[in-house]
Amino acid sequence: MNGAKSAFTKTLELGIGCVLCLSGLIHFSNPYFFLESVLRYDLLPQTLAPAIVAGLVGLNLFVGGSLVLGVLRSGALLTAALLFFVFTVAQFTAYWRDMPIGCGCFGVDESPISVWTMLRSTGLLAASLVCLAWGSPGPDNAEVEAGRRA
Amino acid sequence: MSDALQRKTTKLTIIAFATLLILPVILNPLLYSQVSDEDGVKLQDTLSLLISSTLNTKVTIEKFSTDTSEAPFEKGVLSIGKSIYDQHVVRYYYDHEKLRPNIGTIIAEEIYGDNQKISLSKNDAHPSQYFRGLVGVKTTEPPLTSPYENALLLGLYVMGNASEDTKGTSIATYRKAGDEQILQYEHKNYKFSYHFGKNGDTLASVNIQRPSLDRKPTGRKDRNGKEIYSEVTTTEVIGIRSIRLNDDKSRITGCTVGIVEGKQFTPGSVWKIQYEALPPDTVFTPFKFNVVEPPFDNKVVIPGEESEYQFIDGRIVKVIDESAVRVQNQIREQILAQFRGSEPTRRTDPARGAGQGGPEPSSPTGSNASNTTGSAITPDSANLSATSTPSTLSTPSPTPTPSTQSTTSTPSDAGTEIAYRSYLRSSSSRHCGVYSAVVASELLGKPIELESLPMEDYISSVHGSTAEDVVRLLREQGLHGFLVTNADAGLFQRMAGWDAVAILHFGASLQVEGVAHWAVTQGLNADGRLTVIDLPRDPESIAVADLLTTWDGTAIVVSKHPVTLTQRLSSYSGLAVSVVLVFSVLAAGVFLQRRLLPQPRGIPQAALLCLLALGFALVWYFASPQGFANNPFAVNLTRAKVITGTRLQETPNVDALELDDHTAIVDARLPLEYKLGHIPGAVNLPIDASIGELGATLSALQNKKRLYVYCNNDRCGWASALAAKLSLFHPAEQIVVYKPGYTGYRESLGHRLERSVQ
Repeated sequence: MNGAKSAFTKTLELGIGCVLCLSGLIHFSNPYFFLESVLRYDLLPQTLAPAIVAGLVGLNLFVGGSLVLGVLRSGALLTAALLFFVFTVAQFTAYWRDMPIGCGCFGVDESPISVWTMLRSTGLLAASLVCLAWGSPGPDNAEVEAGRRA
Repeated sequence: MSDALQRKTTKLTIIAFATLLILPVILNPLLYSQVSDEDGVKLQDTLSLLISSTLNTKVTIEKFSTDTSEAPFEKGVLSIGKSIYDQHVVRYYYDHEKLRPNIGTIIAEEIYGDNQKISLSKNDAHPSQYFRGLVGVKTTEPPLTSPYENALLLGLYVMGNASEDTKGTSIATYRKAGDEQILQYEHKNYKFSYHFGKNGDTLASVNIQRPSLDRKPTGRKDRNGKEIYSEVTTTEVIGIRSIRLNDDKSRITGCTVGIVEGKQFTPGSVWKIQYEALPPDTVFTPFKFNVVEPPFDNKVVIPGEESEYQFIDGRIVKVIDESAVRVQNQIREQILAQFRGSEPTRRTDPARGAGQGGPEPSSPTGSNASNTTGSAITPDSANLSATSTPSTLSTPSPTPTPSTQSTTSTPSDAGTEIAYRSYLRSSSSRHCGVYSAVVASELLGKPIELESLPMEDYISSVHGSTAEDVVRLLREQGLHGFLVTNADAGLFQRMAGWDAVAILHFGASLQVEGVAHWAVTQGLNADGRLTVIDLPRDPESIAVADLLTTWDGTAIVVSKHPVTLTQRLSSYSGLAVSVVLVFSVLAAGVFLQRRLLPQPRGIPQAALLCLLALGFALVWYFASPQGFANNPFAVNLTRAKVITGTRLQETPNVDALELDDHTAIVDARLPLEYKLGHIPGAVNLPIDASIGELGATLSALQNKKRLYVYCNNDRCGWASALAAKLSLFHPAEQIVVYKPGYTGYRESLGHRLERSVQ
């Protein structure tokens, strides 16, 4: 059972990592379109938005990279959960305000925010939390576990 | 983590997940009562059909928007617009609230430059014959001013349609060729071409082209290797020798119609056209038509011909598609100008200050490439060059001096060049993919002949050519094109060694949402900028970051040679480098963590990741050529695409314009409207300005202490919308929206003149 659980969480982690990497790379290739997407949410002050967008792109890439490589995984999962929480809340507010905007998740050619995009974001948030709660010790934790036993 | 804590976290996760899952389902019916873009496409089709059937003519919807804040439409109104005359706008209003329960409520409204309008609703009993005629006519010229000409133009149009179902009728085009005026449209499989002006002993002629059952091999083969046959058309030429008016010339009572063969005109029958003056308070075309069409007993048939024939100077001559030739010539001129070193319109970044460029002087005739060429062009295009380029269209004068420019343009100013540009601008929305392929072919020295190109074969979407269409067109013309999506700016650097050009796909333009577009670039210039060729505008040199604000990462790389696998893969080498970079920094981070921070889990790791990401972001932000810190103009361009509701100073006072050296006036209307008349000294920054045009205008305005922005009148929203966008580049407190607009200004000018005469 534990083996199956571990395999499941590792697969989930890899999936989350790939999603974040893909999103980060697409945004990194044209950060101006991502900036536009973020501005369209009308949640951030216009002057702060560029800096936050740059930070978000960096976080996407690094958190995604960590999960794909399997390093710093608990920190990465925590940050991923935080990111997905922010994305989900932002989408909810846009949906609530009836704003016909794209979610800005994967590039420019997107349909507007819908139940599907919110579910996707919520699912990713849930997956991050599940991995965080159920996840087996990663390679970086094994050393500490071994140290404790000694 | 202890077992109890783990169980608690799991429970909380499941509850949170379930709540978030259920919430949208509960909220959906409450929230989804408004029209969204999801059903926009279906709605657009429905509206198109509905309007077509209501007005009894085919209406092409050029714009469909649910964005209620978009200028010039008022909040709460779903709007679609169709430009009939280029300087007028016809708007179809849809009541947003009534949209779902009563989709049949249509209010069509025509608004003209002088604040005149005609309104028509579906249930209106107003006879709409003339309205139908107007909807059908799309002209690149100003509307005819004489009622007699209007009557002829519209009367003939209505005649052509009165007895038949008008479904399948194309929007007609109207243009002038010398003294001759030509109105053309298609109806089902027929092409109608009306020629006005005295030709021989006829006043006008009608060429009716219809397909016959014969087919002719073209010598070309399609993708499947099958022979392509062209349709053989039959042309009938009918002449009109006279139009009879009643005594006070307010009523046409009939005209003489006959057969034209060579120079001979033989009266055949009389068509009775009656038109009467409508009540004097009806604005614009005070006529309605009652057409009695005779049977076509006598016809001239020219069988076995596949080209269009026209009746010019009393002779029937074979002609080729004039518009295609003009486009081809313009493309060649622009590209030749490039190779001859003519500087394209260049934007100076106002955010970087005048010290790094400053306003660039524009030549008296502007920077139009056509001025640098001439020997290899046809008389038509020579005429085009000679009359080309009001400097304020693309490169506004850096110091617009008040009172030095006339308020109205001469006929030559508003002549061929504007007609050509208007034609191209209006048609390029669908043909931009084909034009871009032609431009690319010219740049690579393997030209595609536009006049022999079946353009519609390569336009499979209602909005224009898809990427597959363009690639297929290139392939069938012996060129190689491969599609790249989600490319980054590094593509332009890598293209340098490929002997290739790229056709770029643009998302929404600065102010027109939802418009997708194709344009061409040759890759990076020596100065690290990109030259973008986007007909009918002059080539523009813009910074890569500025391009990124509208380019959606889709490109078709075009080459004369087959594209290698290495080239294809290297299109994405920029992304690969990013991945390697991120992984390297991560590895370094992990190494440091294990050495310096032996806490294995949770928040410290997250903090470390955030620090790494922040460092990466800071380096990119400040050091990358495309970083936000190095491209404030591009950042502002992006913000300008989003901005909607900035409230700025407004003045309703018609005499508020205080003209001096520190003041500039910005005309937010379309170029043709501007050319037909503007406030003296005004600089034109049209609603569909390109990045280059916007940058050039801003450079010219950066030293001004007060900007007045105006459009047509106090009801149009373009001035406010443009002013809001300008406030990102210019201090907001220095911008004033001049509410009376051009109409108010002109009226006040008239009043002042009257007073001075008295």
